Amino acid sequence: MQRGIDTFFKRLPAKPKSAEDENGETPSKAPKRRKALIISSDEDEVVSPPETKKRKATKAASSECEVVSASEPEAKTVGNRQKPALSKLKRHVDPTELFGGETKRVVVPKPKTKAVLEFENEDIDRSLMEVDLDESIKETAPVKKRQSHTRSSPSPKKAKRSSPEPPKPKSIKSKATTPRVKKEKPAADLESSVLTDEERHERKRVSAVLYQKYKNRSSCLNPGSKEIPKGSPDCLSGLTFVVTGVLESMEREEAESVIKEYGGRVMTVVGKKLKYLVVGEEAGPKKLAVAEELNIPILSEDGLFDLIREKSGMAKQVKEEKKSPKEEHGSEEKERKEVKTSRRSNDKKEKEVTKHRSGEMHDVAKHKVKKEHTSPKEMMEKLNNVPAVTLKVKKEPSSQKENYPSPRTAELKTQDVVGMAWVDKHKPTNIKEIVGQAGAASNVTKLMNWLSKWYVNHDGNKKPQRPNPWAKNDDGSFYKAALLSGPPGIGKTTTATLVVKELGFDAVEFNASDTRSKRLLKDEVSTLLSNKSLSGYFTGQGQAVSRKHVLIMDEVDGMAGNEDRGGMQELIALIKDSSIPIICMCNDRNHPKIRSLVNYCYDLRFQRPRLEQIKGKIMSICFKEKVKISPAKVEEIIAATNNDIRQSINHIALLSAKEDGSQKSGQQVATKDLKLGPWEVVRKVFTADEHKHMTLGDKSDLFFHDYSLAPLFVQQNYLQVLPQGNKSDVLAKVAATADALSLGDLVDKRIRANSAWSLLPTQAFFSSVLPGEHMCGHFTGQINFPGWLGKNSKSGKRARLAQELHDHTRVCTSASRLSVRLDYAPFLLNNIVRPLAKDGQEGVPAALEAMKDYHLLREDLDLLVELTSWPGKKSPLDAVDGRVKAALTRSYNKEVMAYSYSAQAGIKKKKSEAGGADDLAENSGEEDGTHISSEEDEDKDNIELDALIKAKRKTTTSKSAGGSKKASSSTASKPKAKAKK
Amino acid sequence: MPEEPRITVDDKRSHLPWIEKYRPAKFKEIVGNEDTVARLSVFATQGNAPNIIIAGPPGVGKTTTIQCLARILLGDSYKEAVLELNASNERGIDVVRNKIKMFAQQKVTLPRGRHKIVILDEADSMTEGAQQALRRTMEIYSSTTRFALACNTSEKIIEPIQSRCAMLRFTKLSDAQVLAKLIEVAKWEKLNYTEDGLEAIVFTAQGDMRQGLNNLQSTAQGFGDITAENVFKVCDEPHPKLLEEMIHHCAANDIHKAYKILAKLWKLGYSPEDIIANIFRVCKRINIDEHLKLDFIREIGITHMKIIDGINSLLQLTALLAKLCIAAEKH
Repeated sequence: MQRGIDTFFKRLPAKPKSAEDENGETPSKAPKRRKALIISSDEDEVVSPPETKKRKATKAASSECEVVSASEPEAKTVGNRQKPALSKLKRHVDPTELFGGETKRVVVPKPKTKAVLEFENEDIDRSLMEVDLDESIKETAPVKKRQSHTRSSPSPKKAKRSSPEPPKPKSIKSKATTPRVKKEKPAADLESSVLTDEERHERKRVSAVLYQKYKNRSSCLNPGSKEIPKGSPDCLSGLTFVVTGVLESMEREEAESVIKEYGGRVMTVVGKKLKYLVVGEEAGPKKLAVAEELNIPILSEDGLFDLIREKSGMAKQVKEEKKSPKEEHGSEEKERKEVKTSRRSNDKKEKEVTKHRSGEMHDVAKHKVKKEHTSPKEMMEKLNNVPAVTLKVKKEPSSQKENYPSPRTAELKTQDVVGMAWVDKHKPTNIKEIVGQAGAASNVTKLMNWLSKWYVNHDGNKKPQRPNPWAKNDDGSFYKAALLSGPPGIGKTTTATLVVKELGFDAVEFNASDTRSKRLLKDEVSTLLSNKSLSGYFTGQGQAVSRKHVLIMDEVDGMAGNEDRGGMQELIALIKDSSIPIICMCNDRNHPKIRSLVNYCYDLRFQRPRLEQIKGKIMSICFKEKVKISPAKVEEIIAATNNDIRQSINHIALLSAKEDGSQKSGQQVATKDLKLGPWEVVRKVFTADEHKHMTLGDKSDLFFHDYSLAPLFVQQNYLQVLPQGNKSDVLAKVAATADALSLGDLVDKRIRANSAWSLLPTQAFFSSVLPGEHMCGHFTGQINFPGWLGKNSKSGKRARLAQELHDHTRVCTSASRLSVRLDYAPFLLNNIVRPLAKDGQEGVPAALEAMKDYHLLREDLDLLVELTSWPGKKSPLDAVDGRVKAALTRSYNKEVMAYSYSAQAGIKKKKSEAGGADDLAENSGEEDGTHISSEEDEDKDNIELDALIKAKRKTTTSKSAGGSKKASSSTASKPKAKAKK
Repeated sequence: MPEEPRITVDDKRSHLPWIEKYRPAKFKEIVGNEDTVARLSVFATQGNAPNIIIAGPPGVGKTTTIQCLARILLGDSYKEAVLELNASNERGIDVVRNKIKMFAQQKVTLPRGRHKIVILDEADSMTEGAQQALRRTMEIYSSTTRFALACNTSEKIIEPIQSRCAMLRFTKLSDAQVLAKLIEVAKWEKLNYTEDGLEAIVFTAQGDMRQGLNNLQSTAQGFGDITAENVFKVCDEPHPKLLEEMIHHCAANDIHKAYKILAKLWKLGYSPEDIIANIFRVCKRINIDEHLKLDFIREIGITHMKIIDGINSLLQLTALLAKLCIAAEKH
């Protein structure tokens, strides 16, 4: 769903990216062509002939824009004709409403467009009309469905045939120089730079209209009205599809899943690799146009079904009329395939020479072989293709031996491989194998640079500057330790060990299974680090005793409990005067325990690799282990583990055990085993397709995946859902849902307050099942994280601020907390700020007087500002000059004696700034408030503050100047920093 | 619960509770979740199973499955090569660091492809610190030791541990599966049973095999024959059949008949909480129009809430009936 929207919405700006994506998914082309891919637009396969450069870029840009805009209104009018009721609704969407600035629809003048182009447009329009006409026939006379769909399949083909570019020459030359091709390419390249504002705007508008249309589109017309044919499992293998528009009997996702199920691939962008465009009602005009141009067969939904039947050798049952178009189509395809195969084999030779990552190669090879051998054969004989394919695949390894010698030899070397878990067996053995860490800016490279330069940077001769935390190209030379953080199972530990190995360091590892208390760290680690490693002697490779150590502190967030008390402090101390590099690892770098450590570490954050990256790895493992799992299945597993490589491998290992049994049933049940995140849960709650197979019990079980978070998610997202059925009922449905949710909230209150857990099943119904039933449909937007949590913590914080204010003004006010907030705060602030804003420096005494009267701290002023702020309202302090503020602070520090609470407040603040890990409870409560007020000068004072705290703890007054004035001196450090600015 | 002597069983283990006596020892005997179990049984013969977490509601055979796996994998060396810890053992952070780690480091001679197994039952009751300490141990010693965790709610297992394991979810057993096993046991024990009696047990078990067997045993010991009446004497609950009938009356908009049933239940002295909870349960499974069912559940939920609040009078339940009838009428 989301993906679909993305493609519509970001189509124009995100072109190069999508091309790249495409590239990543299908690494099946020779490198030579790949170069062209990256720079081209979403018509990524179009390779430009050299003449392109001759053309003026502007011309091209305008012409492309023209194509889009011309085809768009056309699509619109067609839509009108075909079903008045709906299109009326749609016509009301005025594009100008979406983009406020625009006044009128500007029809772009076309001074430079060529005759050819216009002709093409006409052509496209015609074909569009034809396609839509078919759809309309279908819709107006659903009774005659059979007839109409037989008619529908030939028509697009005819349209194609009548198109000016005949398929043959194009496919043979493969780089046919059609006029459009020339124009399109530079347009994509230069669109961002060369387009005039007007054009850009126009294009934006067009895409906005399309998007709006997409949002308002009807759900499928008669869901489930057609029977999805049961084809043989791999009948669509090697074929690629793009689904566009609203199909008649299926949602688009459903169609895509059907295609995937039968081994086909679904792409989002129309390119040359595409084999079929499956078109429904209100299809994207751009896609149609491009498909038309590239001679890609356009299928209706029925056409898709027929294709499945045909490929799996069931063509007979369908209809007699069908034969003629099918045969045409078949022969056409055959031609193209043949041409392609010849080209492919060339490619292949190139491939074999070039070295690539073995995993990808397998995939590619597999695909290729499948295509080469099955398609022509299949067309001619209509044999069931499965045995042929498997045979070929099995042969493949012997013919391509050179491509992956490493796994083979590795397997031979380690005979113990039988007993190894897959996760270990397929662990990366060198840096390049780590998934998702290839680029120059990747964490591996950064870590490597950091580590290799460590001894140079820290030889004691120079003192590197603490870098700005927002600096982009920080190589971490300042830091003595690195912190790798990221979710589990994405290769942090692997990265660390491999990098260390690569650089020839010796690693001393401590992890959560070791006790890491203060004492132990102090004693053991420091002695360990002065040791010399003899491992070089034993392995026989190193000549000398290695002196380079690295301390790897794995799972630093696992320092817990009594045994590890003080471990974090000791670690920080260790880092400070360490003579060796230290690598720390943790999952959540925002954890309060970790936060103090972050300040001393080179921060490397690991992101989850993308699905495609993991998929390649997993598929190669599957291949090595000779496990047959469909790509769709692999995707499912990866998604279910939330892009966790390790767990994905574990799951695959588990699945593999089922090989000999009945495969089908085994794989289906496995989906149930996987855990569901709240996002997935909420999607399932509302998606109509999912409901089909679920009983009431299943639906309420969804709630129990996470019963504390699920209701919040449902409540946050129920308005994003477009329910099925009549549009006029939507409001009633929303009302019913809201009613159920409010009841669910009441139940929740009782569960939490009275711990009446027996009500939990009831809550499941109110908070999840009933909303799901009422709003059953599909998501139209992104699923959001519940906003309630953020709001709740904010309100808690505000309450705390108000309480603080209440405490401070206690002596001279008699109001409750609430009335301090409501009746005092705005006026108090006004009283302080007004003289400052009005009189500048002269207003300082007046303001100070007001503060003194109410026994306020300097910090309370910021607190007041925050407390009285409203969204959209400017802070009154903004009107005050910075110098005046500084003057106020200065005179405040001079005149006002410390209050009993001010010292405390000052110390507290500092502690939380330094993030002392020992006062966690206090810290976690305190963090929000203090961080905002002191964010700017945090980094500057950090070390200084730290020193102060230490002095304090030891109660030696030597460092902090004058024990009695501790409070004022501590508050003074802040203004100083401010004044510097 | 000691077995009474009048039930004559030729087995030596007659003094065991039935749940222990009939605990499956082979994969074949495990009821339910066939697919997952079958996959594990493949590992049991081949060895080299990944670390696993089995999550599921109580009484579906999680522990049994793991023990089966361990027994088949390790055979005679079960004693040396298996470390089993459950919530009754201390499993603090130091136990993980010392006992489990030591065990993982031990050398036990095993055939190729076999590993020592650490079984952590009820792993969701382990503290986070203990789980953290387990992380790297699981990885470093994976060449000699595998872990099998069982828990009720997988969310309580920290993510890094989950990441190191393959997750298996066990679902509740279907009524048919429970029933089949109950019949088998009843035959073993040579009990007199009626069909509705076993059905009643199945209903009270709610997909929990252990509960079902316990109920069966207590009924058999208390009354001898397994009839619906006896079962509900032991597992005293408002009879689902009656409630079902009552809801059907409501759906037919016949409040008089419905009230008669309610009054009867009330007179029998059931607590309103039991009644309403059972109405809810029955209503979930009842065979009426889906929309009407949802309306019903909504009303039942509201009444349930009121009763939990302490307003547990007959009037509330009667009001519920009235509301159900109104909903049915509107429909």
